Amino acid sequence: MNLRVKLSLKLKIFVSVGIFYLAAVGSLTFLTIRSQRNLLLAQMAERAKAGINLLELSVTGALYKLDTFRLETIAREASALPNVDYAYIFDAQGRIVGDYHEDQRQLFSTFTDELGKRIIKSNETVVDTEEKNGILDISKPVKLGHEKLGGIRLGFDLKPIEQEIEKATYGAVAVASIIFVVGLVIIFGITLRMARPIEKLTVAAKRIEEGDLEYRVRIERDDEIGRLATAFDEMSERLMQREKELKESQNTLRRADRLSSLGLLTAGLAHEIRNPLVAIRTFTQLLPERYNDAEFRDGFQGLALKEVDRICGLINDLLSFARPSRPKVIQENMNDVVDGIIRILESEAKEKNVEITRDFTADLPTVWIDREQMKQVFMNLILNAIQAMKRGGSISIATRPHSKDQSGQAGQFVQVEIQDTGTGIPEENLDHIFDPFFTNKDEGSGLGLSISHQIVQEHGGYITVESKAGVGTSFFVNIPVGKSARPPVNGQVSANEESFSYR
Amino acid sequence: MGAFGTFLVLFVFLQFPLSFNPSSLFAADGKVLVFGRVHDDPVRSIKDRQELVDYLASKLAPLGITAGRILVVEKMHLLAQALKEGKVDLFHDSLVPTLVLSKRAGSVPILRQWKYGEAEYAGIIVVKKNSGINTLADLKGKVIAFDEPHSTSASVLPRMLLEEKKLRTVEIKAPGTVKPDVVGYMYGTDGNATNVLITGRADAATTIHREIERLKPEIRESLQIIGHTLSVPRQLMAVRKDLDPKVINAVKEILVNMDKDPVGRGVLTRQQNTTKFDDIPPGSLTQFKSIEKFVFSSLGKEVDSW
Repeated sequence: MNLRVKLSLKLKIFVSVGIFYLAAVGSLTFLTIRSQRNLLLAQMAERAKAGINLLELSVTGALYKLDTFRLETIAREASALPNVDYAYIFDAQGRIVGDYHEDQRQLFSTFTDELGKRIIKSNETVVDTEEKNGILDISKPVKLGHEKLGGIRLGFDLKPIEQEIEKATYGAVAVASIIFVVGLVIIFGITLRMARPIEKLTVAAKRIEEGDLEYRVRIERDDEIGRLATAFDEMSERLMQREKELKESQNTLRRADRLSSLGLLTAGLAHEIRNPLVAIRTFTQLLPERYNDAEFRDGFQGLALKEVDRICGLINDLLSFARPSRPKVIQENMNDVVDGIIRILESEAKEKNVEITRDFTADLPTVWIDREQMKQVFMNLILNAIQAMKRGGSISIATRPHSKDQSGQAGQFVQVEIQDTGTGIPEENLDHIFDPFFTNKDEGSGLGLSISHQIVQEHGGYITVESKAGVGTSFFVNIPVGKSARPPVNGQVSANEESFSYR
Repeated sequence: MGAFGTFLVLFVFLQFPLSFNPSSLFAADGKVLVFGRVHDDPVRSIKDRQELVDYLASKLAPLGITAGRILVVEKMHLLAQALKEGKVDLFHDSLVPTLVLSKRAGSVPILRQWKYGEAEYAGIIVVKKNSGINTLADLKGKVIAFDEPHSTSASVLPRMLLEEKKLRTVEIKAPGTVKPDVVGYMYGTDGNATNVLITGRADAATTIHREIERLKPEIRESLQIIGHTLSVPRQLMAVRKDLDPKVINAVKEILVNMDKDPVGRGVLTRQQNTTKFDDIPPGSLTQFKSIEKFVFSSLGKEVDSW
């Protein structure tokens, strides 16, 4: 189970800086509290030292004289020092000769006190902060001249200090919390300011990648991000320009391809137009002689009109194929489109002794296509098939529904199969037939299949080919039913329109 | 403190009888030079003199002295006892205490101690100007304030002066009227007799010139001197009678030469502004005798309480 959570850049920055900030504020607060605590304890220690030094001044003379009454009085008077919990005065043998205790305990002792002996042996003031017991214990020997007269020990209650430390801690934590919250708000603001442009750039990159080359970031900031956004917009502008130029080139190529196809049809078309014209001529020559023959006249009229309509239809088909048309994606029946192109090519096929047969599935679902572009696809494929059969042959054109996409996944497509009985395509060439400028023929630009492949892709479809040397080749053109997931490069499908056109 | 507490304190007190005996405070091996001092403030006494005693002890090392120690006692008779028992080797004090200890313990003054650049000093009797007291004779029926009873310059010598002037003195314990034919007197503590005068609790006071000079000018100007005592040595250094003569001679030599030694001079300066030590002028001994006679004859039993 993958527990990694995908965090947005904004959240990452906010969490990272927030954690660092929390650590910084926390550390600072901890150090401040500790420093405050040490300061208060140090102050307490200093006060204790001052207290014990003051007591020493009083005690020294009395200890020298061993004036126990005075020593006891001094010990009791030590209670006047702030926070004193106990006071002991030791003689030179370490015996307690004066004492005071907050709880009125009387420790006056004639016996040697081990602690007293240690204090007297020591040559310095010893401060011991017994935080567990809440006591600051300070002791020092009392000397006069070179003689150790005894010692003093004072205990200071740390409760007031602890209370001050507690107050200081609460204060520091409160202030740190406020600083932390304010800091978080500021960090959040900064994070937004930093992340928003990056998010905008991400969205822009995605939109550009999806083909919306007109999308712009438009961030006006005088910093690196601002400059990046400007560069990005300039890059998009140039990309759009290049795309436009590319489209223009593609259009030019496609038109050239169409004209080239038409050029190849010239002989067949001429034959197709000449035959009716010859018939009309013959009838016209005979008309003066047989003018009074009503049957001849009616026959001539019917034939002439029929042949002229056929020529006009052919010429219209040619013109619509050859004329640069405004790209337009509409719902079409694929059978009509394929049939239209077969009509143009039939004469050429006949010329080359090729028979074209139709095997159209009725009630085929409509597809969203640019009719003229799609005609160009079939023109190329069928014309290639005709040219591939130098000695004649047959071309079977079938339409049918198809339920698999290019990767084998379920999908809804209309499939057009163009199967010829030509020589087939060598296996080693199969992977290259859709490459631009790749050709096996003596004539042609090598762009036909490439353009066809591109047009089908732009319609969200795909072309596959099966070929067997000496048997023939089958091209399968698959166009998705319904709206294309990816609009043609030359145009854009509008989601809510019944029909739509290229911009 | 309750009865039990009092009992405990008394019980403990009884545990330390020897602690109050000065002898327990010295080294017993005789290699420690012990300096004696009569004063009620042992801390000040020791702190003021330890350096001098250490200096002496270090110089006496060739004679086997290993350290110097100071014994402070509150009463003169305790020091006399220590001197007699050989537990104090030397001491210094003003003339009168030195004479009393010589009489009682046989101690011997060996050197004169100069202070503030003075070999000698005298006591003076001061009154407020316009008080109507202009001579010592005017003190009859008035009250004069002395310092401590054993103070040479501010107690004993002034009393000696008054006796020479045939003025009878009577101690007054409480405020009241003094008979017109006597001079009433009261004791203060060290150096505060002038304060008693200034605050109006006495009509005259005893002091020395140096103390008067330290007063604020407006107070100083309000006072006038009506009598001077004898001039006596500022202070004397004395040794116990049975101290080894070699040690005595060595101590004398060291002390007399201290002001010529930079280190010694520093010690002297810090020793209550001692200038130097020198021999006691032979002529002074007669003066000492007369003062001693006055102390023991005129002051009588009072001296026993010093």
